[in-house]
Amino acid sequence: MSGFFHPLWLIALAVIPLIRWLHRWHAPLSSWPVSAVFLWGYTTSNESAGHRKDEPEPAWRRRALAAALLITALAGPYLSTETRTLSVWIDDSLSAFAIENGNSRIAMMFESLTEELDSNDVPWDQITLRSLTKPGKARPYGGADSFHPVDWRDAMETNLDENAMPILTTDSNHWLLTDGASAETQTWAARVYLGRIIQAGTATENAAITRLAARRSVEDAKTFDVLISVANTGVATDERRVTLYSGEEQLQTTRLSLAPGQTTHWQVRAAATNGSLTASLSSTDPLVDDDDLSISLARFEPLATRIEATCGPALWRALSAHPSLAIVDATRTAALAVSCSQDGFAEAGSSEARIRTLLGSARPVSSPPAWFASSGSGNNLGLAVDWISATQWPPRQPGDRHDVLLATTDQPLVVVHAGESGSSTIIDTVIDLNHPRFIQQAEYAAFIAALVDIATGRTLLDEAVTVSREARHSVIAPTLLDTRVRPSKPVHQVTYKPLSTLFLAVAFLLLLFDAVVLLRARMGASHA
Amino acid sequence: MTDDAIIEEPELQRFARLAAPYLQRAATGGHDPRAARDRPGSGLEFLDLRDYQVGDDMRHIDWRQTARRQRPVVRRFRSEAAVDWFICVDGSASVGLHPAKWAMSIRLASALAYTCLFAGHRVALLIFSDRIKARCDLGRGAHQYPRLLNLLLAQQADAPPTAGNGRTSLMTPSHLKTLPVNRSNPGLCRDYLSGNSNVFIISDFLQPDGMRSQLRSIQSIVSSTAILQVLAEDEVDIAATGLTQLRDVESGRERQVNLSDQIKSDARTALRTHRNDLHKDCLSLGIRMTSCESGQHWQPALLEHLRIRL
Repeated sequence: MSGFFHPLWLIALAVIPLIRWLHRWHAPLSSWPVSAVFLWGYTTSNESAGHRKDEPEPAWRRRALAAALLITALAGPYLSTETRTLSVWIDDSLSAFAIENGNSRIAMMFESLTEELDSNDVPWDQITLRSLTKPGKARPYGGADSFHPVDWRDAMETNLDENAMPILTTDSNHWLLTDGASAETQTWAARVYLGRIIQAGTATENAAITRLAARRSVEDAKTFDVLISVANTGVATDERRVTLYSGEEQLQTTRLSLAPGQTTHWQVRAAATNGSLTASLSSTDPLVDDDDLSISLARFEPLATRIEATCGPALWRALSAHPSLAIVDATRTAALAVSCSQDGFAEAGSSEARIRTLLGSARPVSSPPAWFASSGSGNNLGLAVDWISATQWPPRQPGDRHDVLLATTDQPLVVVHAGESGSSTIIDTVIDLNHPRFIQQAEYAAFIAALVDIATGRTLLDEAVTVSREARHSVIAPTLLDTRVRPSKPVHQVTYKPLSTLFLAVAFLLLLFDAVVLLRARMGASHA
Repeated sequence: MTDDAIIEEPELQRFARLAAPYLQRAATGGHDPRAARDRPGSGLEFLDLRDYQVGDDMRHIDWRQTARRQRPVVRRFRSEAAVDWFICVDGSASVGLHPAKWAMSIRLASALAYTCLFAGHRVALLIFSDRIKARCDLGRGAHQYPRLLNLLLAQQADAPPTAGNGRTSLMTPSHLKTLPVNRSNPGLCRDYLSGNSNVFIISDFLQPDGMRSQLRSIQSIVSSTAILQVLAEDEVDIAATGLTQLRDVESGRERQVNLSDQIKSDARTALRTHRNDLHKDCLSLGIRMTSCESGQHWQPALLEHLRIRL
């Protein structure tokens, strides 16, 4: 098919008669005296009438053609080709991987799609398979042998988001392969125009571990308090065995009765010796991918901390007493460094978190220190004015940006250089951390622990590690969707091939030819 | 230009000896069996009677025969004079446009004049265009040829206005608009002709009617008429291409043509057709006619003309 992007330009073709009319006034290039003019043809003749000629100069056709080509080029001619394309949206959410009768739902969906396409007499030019959880993921349809469920399994970790469902293009036909279990898919399918919905899967019962959380026990630092949540997303009461593993080692097990649609929690204290904790559910439901959760215990390992010897014994003792810190010597890599210097703050060259203090003559502060909002856990810590003395801040470096955490009315006492991209957080303080009255207070250790938390960005004294999944994503009970074939709209993907350049090129060549003809005629006349 | 038109006298003598026998036949149109002296003309010896015609001398009316026949009858006398030849040369702009045509015309006219004088005839010369440009009255003998030749050499054909030195020059339309109208008219020679004279007209005859009316007018009062058409070899060859304004150097008529090979070929065909048509008409009028081109040698062209039988 062909057409024009801007057909109104074609109105300008009306100038072509004007071009012809103007060429009636064109004076001939050369004039020759002859002995008998009557011997020459009469077809283009006109007896003497000045420059005016009834018949236009023959070159008007060439120039009119060039003008027509230019105008046509401005009108934007194009050739269009129509392609019937089909986008098949695959609901590759977690429930699509439920196994029924030895086959996954997603494989069943694809078998149905293949049968449907084989029985469909529509000659699709292009069929594309698209992920509903990751709309950017697309695979060309290559027949029954080309589909492998494992190719779509990576989308399992991405849950459907109602606000991120794809917007369907209008230049393609759209089908949906789904098990009908996802509420987001149901809502989306009701909102968009789908030519065909292919649904597979009938199982309804499923239970899933939806949360695994662990924290160090208060009574015994070597044991963990563990919380396991189990949700029954089916429609019937179920009873399942839940087992807690540390690595391969089974720690504890229990049997839980699960009410439909309810979540049951199991709290247990366990002494983990391996690097991970895994909660596993006895697998009797079609969907096994949501039957266990694991957490790594590496998060509970003491944080390697390096402290300079110049910092004094009080600070060293406070850091050593911190249960989540492990003091290492200066040669080892540390996640946290504490430095104390005389003249100014030490350079922060490494990527580790750093607490920097100043040594030297400190003076008592004039007012009680007050915490600022960004100081995190330090907010609850009250510091008396007679405990605190501070040295003078060294001159600021140009471009130095920081947030004040603790300050008196006269000066800031603790500032944080917020970790920018690629750099760690640095805490600077001018408080004398060897003040005799301050180091005797219980708040001293708490103050140091607060600085450590701010520097590391963690709550080291009571850290909890949690992994979870939403129970609604483990629902596999399908809702019956309208799978009737809808009248397909005559949707084509139209590809336009603009021809303006071609027209411009031909017009240019024509004008060039005209110029050459004109030049040759003038040169021939002048030579004669 | 005129130097190459001069023919050396020995060559003229050789030609005159060869061509003189054909002159008598040419003078009578080639079909009058009588000798030249038996032709009617001015003389004292009675030849015959015939009906009066307009232009006849009133003194020659035979009143006795007129009364008997009840219509005017004149007496004719045997010509006692030698044959008179009037050589009329076209000196118009269409000839001047092609210098070779004018040179060929001079050669033919001078050779013919020499031959006639060699045979003892009287020869006059008229050079015409839209007027009688030059004239040399009838004369015979050795002194006549130099006079005729000098007159020929002193004349130029009317030159077409040019912007340069070319015979076909580039001219702007403003130049063309000032071209004079200069039609060739051999009929002007009629006033100088007498009834027993023979006329030899050298021209290109490039007018739409081939100058037929003028030829018919001349033929009606003279003893014989012969025409020799001289055409340039490149009569219709124009170096230009594309849209070109053509202007007739004589009539001033303009024509705009898109010069292509086809148009040029058509013009050559039209020239041939024009020449053939003129030849047919001359045959029907009893006029001897041949054509030659300016590039030909004058001798065979003239000899062929004199040899021709009507």
